[in-house]
Amino acid sequence: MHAKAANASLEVLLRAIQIEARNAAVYESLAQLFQGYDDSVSALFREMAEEEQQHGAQLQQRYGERFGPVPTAIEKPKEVIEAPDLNDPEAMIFDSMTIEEALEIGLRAEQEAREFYRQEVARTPDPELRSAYQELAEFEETHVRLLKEKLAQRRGAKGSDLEVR
Amino acid sequence: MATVTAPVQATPPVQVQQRPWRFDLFARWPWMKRLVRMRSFQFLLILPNLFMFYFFLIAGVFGTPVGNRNIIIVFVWILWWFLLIALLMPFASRIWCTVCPLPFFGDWLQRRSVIRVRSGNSPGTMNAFSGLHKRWPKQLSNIWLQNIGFLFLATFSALLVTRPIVSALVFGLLFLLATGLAMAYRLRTFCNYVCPISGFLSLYAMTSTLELRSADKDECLKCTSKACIRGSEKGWACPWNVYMGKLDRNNYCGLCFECVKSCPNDNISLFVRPFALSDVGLRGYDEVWKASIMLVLALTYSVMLLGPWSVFKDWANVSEVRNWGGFGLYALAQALLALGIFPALYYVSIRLAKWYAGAEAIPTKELFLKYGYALVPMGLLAWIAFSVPLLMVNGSYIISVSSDPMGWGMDLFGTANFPWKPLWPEWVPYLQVPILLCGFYYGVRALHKVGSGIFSDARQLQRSLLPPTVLLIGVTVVFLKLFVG
Repeated sequence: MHAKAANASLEVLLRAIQIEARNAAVYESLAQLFQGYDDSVSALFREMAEEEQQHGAQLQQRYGERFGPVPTAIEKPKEVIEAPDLNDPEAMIFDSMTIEEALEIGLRAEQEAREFYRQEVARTPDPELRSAYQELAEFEETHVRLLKEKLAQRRGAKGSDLEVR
Repeated sequence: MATVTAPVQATPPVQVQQRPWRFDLFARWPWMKRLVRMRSFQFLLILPNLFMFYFFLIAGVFGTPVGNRNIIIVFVWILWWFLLIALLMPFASRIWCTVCPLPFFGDWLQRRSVIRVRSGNSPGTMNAFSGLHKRWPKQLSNIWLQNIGFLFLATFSALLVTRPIVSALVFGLLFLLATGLAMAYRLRTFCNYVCPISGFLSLYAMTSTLELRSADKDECLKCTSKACIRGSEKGWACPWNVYMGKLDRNNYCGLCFECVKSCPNDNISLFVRPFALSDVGLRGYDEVWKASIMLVLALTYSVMLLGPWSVFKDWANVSEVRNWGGFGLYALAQALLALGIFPALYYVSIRLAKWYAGAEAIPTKELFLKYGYALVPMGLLAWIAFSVPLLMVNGSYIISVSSDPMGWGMDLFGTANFPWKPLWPEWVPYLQVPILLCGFYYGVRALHKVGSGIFSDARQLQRSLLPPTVLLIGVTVVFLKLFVG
């Protein structure tokens, strides 16, 4: 039972590592998309890509401490957890993307991830697995806080309009 | 494992309604996908159209100045217009843009290739583009230029649709403009912001029974390359700058099918869907005004060409009648009606809707934009009702001009002397009335659908629908009066 739980915990962490890697790639794509179009938005997406890479590195470190080296060939995540994406399919046509909206894209993704892990904490009976999810929820909470701070700075300390339902 | 579904409050740019039925054409007939995936697909469609376009320009310049004997007038303003408005728009979305020759040379110069894709990293893309690749000014990133351009051309329509040289000059200028803008600005700037034809195509494509969309939106969320908008080694970056991952309306998808080629997840497909009730969100004042301009033009054209008042026709036909005062009055009245009076009437209906529904919490702008979609099916069907008699009355010119396209006395197919013969003119009102009533029906259905997304209370919803419905009734009655006296 204990080995089974440890294995599940390992898989949860691996999946989180993969999600961070995927999101870093998405942010990098978005950064390139806005390059030469709105360089400030592009720079912000690139910054987010770097942050995701750092998050991935932190998770890899945790994984290494518990389970050893991260396997190089792991299946790509199938879930749509924490998937940053353009909100407006016509943003490039109407030149409507702002830095605030770019931050909101990141914030929304992090909030989704945090909620997902929180839900898993609530419904997972296995204590070790629950602990892994709890850790990831706190991890995402830190990112949410950081992005909210950035958004608040941009909005003149008005705070984020994005509220979790 | 369950996916996370929108746990945070988001404001989508377009009202996302529960998606109605749609049928995946590529899944049912995979040969269609293979066809559009051919790199030469669009080129092979444009090429014959390009030759035809060139021939029309030649005919416009060197052919007879008599409009109904010249192919540019008869084929463009009778045949093409009817096909575009009555068949392509409602049933094939912006398929005209797939074959449109106007941006051909601009695309060629930008891409330095007519068929193959060039990989690279021109800003914002994974392709290699030539030209200055500049960004279009933010202040002009809308369809206001198209609105004004179309209204301007429409004001001179009597010249445009009767004088071959004028048609040739206008199309020639558009052709040069499309090419020039492609050299200075990125992608299809001309199509997105300048082309006056594109403006109304974007609006009426919303009603179409055809859509190009991602088959599975979750695939797009997981996609790291965003190749549909950025391009890849297999396809060019979306010339129209739309992101397929979230695309929820037809307006700015020019059906070039590059995303079908470039998508690494094989996730773009062509769907058939219900008419007029799928894309129901106008997103800006420019789009509402476009709807107003189109509806008013359908009305003024009907007055001018189908109504019993010859004085209006004379006013519009300034090149022959030379009544500049009358023309000025006509132009001013048309502009006022399209840009001021009708939008004002619509605005009043929205204010009344808010007041009658007791919905003061809902911003007027939101209701104004969202309910504005009702003018779209109404306008399209009014245009179809107007265009039906054009084809039925003047269609015989197509047969005679086919044999003598330049009006030089040729007789290529033995039909040059085919007499002008209106086709069942007595049936015209019997076709116009049901078409118009369909427009009214879909306008009201659209209002109801949009309203259901705004109001949860049934009584509020019904009350909010009443004033704009009354406006639609008024519009329908005016058209009916014109069509059947």
